[in-house]
Amino acid sequence: MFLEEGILHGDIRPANVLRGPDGKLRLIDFGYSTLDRLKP
Amino acid sequence: MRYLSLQYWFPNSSVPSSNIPSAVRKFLEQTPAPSARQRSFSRCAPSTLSLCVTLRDNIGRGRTGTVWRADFSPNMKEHRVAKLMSVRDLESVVRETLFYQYVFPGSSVEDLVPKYHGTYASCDGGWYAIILDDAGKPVQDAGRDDFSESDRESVK
Repeated sequence: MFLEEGILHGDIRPANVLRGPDGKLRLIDFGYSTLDRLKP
Repeated sequence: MRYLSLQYWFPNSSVPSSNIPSAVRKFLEQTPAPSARQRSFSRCAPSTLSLCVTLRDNIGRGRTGTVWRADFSPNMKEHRVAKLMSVRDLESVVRETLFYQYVFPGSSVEDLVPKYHGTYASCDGGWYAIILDDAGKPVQDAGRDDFSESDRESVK
């Protein structure tokens, strides 16, 4: 889904994926992320 | 336990992702610089809002900062965390703030990132804090098997 939005995270690793009490996963740490130039 | 006094540095009002300002888009399309010290940003915008933070538990360490479970005053009762980043990593502070401010709201990934509550600066401009909802624990804490293939697909 991030790729579909043109978001390139740049530092994907288990430490940057959080699982909440509801079981949902959320991504953190976007300090090295970029936007894909080709996406509108 | 540590105490911080912070000033509001960046607003957290939401705007649709289709309205990303062109200057913001241009900045976020660039690959991060090797060192934030090579770029110049306003260190601390004038602000009348302030926040007192009591740092309780260090719950994570990233490439550019440490994440703390914290108590905030005034007016923040929910469970939130503060990601503390040094002024040396100011470019990452700006980059991350712009993603939360302009890119995620209204996009399909809005529910796949923690809710954002603003970026604050310490009064001396040496530290910045990105305030987020407490979204849980890193999957690595629960062991490698906790991060399944379907999990991998859901965040890709």
